[in-house]
Amino acid sequence: MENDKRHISFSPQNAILWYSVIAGVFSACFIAFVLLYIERQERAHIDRVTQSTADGIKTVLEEDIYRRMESLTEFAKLSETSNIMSDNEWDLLSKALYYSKQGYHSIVWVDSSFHVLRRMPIEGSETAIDFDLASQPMALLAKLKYQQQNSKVIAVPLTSINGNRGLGIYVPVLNKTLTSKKVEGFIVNVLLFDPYIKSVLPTYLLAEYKLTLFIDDQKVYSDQTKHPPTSGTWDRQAAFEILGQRWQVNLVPNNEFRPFILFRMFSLLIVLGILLSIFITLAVYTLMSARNKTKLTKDDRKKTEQLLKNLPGMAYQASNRTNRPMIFVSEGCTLLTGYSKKQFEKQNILWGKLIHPDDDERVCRTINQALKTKHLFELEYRIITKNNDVRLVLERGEPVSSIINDEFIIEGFIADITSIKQAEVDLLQSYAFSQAIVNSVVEAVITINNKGLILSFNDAAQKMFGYTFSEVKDKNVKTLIPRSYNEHHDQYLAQYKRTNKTHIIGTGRELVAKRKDGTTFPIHLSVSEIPNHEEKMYVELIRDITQQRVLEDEASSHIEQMAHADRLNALGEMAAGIAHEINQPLTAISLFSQTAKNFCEIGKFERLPELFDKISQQSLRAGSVLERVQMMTRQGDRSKEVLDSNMLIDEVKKLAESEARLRDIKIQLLPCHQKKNVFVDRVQIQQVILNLLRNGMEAMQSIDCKNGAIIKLQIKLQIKIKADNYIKILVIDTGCGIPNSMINELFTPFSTTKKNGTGIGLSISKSIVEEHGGHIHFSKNKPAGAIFYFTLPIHEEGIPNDK
Amino acid sequence: MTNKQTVFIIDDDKGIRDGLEMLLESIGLESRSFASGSAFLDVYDAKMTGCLILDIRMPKMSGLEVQRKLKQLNCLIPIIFITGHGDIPMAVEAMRLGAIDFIRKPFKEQDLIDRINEALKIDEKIINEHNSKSKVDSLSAREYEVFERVADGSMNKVIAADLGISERTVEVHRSHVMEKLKVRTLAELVRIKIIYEQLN
Repeated sequence: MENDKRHISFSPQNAILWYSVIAGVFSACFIAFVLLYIERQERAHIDRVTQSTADGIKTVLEEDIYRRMESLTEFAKLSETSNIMSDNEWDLLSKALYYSKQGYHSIVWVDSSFHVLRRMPIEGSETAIDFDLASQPMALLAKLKYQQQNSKVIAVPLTSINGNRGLGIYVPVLNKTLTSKKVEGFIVNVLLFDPYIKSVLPTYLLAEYKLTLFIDDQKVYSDQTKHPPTSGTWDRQAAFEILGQRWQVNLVPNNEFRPFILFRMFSLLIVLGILLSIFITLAVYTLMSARNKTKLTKDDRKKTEQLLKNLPGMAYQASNRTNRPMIFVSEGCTLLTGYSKKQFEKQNILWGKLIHPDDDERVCRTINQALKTKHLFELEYRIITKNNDVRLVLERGEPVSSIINDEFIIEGFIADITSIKQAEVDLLQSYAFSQAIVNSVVEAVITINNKGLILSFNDAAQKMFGYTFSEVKDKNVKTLIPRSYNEHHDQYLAQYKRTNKTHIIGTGRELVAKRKDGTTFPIHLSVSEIPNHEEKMYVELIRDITQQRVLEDEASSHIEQMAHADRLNALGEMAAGIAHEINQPLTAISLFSQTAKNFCEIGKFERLPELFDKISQQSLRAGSVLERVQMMTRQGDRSKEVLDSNMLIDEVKKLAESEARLRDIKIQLLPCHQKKNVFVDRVQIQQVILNLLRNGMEAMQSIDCKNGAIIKLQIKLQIKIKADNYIKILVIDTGCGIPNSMINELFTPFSTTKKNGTGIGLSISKSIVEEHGGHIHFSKNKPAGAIFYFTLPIHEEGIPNDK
Repeated sequence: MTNKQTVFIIDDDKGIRDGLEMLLESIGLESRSFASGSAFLDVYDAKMTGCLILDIRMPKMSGLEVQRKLKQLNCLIPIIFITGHGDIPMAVEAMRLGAIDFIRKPFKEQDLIDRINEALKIDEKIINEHNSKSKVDSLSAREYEVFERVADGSMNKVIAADLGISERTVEVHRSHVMEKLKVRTLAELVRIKIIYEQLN
């Protein structure tokens, strides 16, 4: 049972199945038992029926034989008295006798020597042939003599010549005298068993049983047409005595008889069984369901109680009277009011008394109204607790009709919303506060969702872009960006969503924005993601940097002016080297020209084309030197381009080489093993490198290159995992180095260690590098010399650089 | 004069080298050019004759260094320096070390040609001197005594008396000297004597 209970609590359906199976097994056992019982009963029944049938047969046969005997005896007497009976008389009497009862084979009058005198029926000599009454006279006589002493009628079994069994009933016809009785002959009544039995016994009996008849233990009749009997156990006998002979009836019920009974029984049993099973199953199911329901109800009640207990408020039932005395309150009342459940339920404390006097009237009015309309009501009001605190509560109630009487009661729930209300107020204030900030900042603040649709648009944004909020609400933020930048913005968001790696998010980027009137202006955009939001949202902070750009442009043009001045200065210093660079091709050209002239004089004209080729080559060479010089003198063209960094330093090397040669210094180029592009102003960056190279060479020459005459110009990669990648351009000399006192003011203007230095080279280099988003540094070379290096952001393929 | 005089050019600038080579070719002078001093030194041979046009400013080994090296090797080839930037101290140094001239680029071709011809003459002279000296050095002590006295204009008889040998022996020595110095006349012998005395 314990186990079962667990099952129930675990799964009611399962339990019901188990119970049904058990019920089924029980009903099966029961049916088996009933079957057995019925089998026994049936056996007894068949016994009884067979026995009584046998008895009945006995009675019928006994009676029939007696009747026949009696009528024959009378007939014999008639024959006796009128000794000579006319033929007509015999015919009439015998015919009457023959037909009065069925089953006679024949009625014969024989004399004492058993010769047939007369017979009925007359036709059909078969009788005579079948039963030769005279065939065993001796035995008969012996029998007769013996019978004479005791009985008047003799019965003798006969066998026809065909082997059929029969019975002869002999009634003696006496010639009576006073003294003696002399047997004159017999009236013989011959019965053939086969037709006799069938005529005497009802046919249904014969159909249901196999009947065998024995006389003096000799089988005289057996139903041959029937199937063999079932078994010996079903045999039943009945015996009786007639005319000194012992008759025995043997009965065996037929096969058909049993199944018929059994079938009836079975049908009944099966119907009964099914009914029983259904009944049991139903009963069990009902029982289980009831149990489960009870259990669930119990659980529910427990849960409800628990729930009410844990509620941050109190559930109640109040009667509809002044001050609403409580019929039931949940445990929460103590927390809410400070009064106990008992105090309320015993109505020591009335709810109405707790309501703040200012709110009392309003509460009463609302509740009365609700009672009239029978509708739900909800209201907020203040109560005064036991500690004299004022609390704001929310009550939600409904008038319901009481079970006890017709009167309405109120059921509902009261919750403390003091803190919620406070939070709400705080939230509103905080929202108003942040809204005020957002609207008062000069930056445009725009929130967008992850599809780029605008969710908010502050006052500054409206002023900056010329749109009202309603005009851009739910529109894509691309509306605010010129078409050429549209794709970039989408890419940023998509990239961020895909990689979660900020490209501009969190850092800021300068872009171009578009006003409602179509004009564009430069902006600084920084994007941050709003955390803890189901859907990703971003805040875009946009600053109009038109003014800033103007200032920047001014500053940068100032730098350019300074840089230009510096370049010119450098060129002046490099003039000797450059002059040499130009002198060389010029000299060569001069030589070739003279040669040409000589060849002409001696008539070797075939050599001239070669010479002209050489002259042309040398002119180009001189031109390219001048071109490099010209580039250094260029001013104002500050366009940036994407350049291979290795190419950049190679060009500088060529430019500086003439001077290096003058100083007997070799420039060693150590390019980067990877091709890395930078987005730079070619002239300015080359100026920086040239500056550093020339400084280095000067430093080396100042000590007569005693540490070697090689200055290195190198590019290194500086790959950082999180930040942007940089290349590092290094100029490594082995010169006199930088005195410690100078290190701190290396990059400040007008500080120099050179006799004729202007002191602006490094400071301009610093400005240029920083304008390109890089930094310039100094470190000491070992064992001697200086390393100047600066960084430049690597220009990644595919990502536009808008700056 | 077994070797033909050649103008050797050392300049790191291919344009200049080509120009010079062709110019010299056009006036029928043999020339050979080298891109660096070391390349020249690698193939240097004492039998080389002619002159050397040397660029002062070259990477690795400057013109002055080449000059110094050649000096160490007792090379007597006259050197003409050419330079794009004619700075005085360098010129002085070069001249001090025995350069015969110092030309600034650009230059007039004819000037250069004149200088080269000059240099070649000097070279020839030097070679002659050199030859004279070696010939004189090849004389035996007795032959040298005879040579000295013949060059002074002394008579065989006087010489024989002076040296305490027979006149006939002086005549044999005299013919040997003439043979060894490869001279046929007394005048030539006298010139060798003068060159030799100058050298010493």
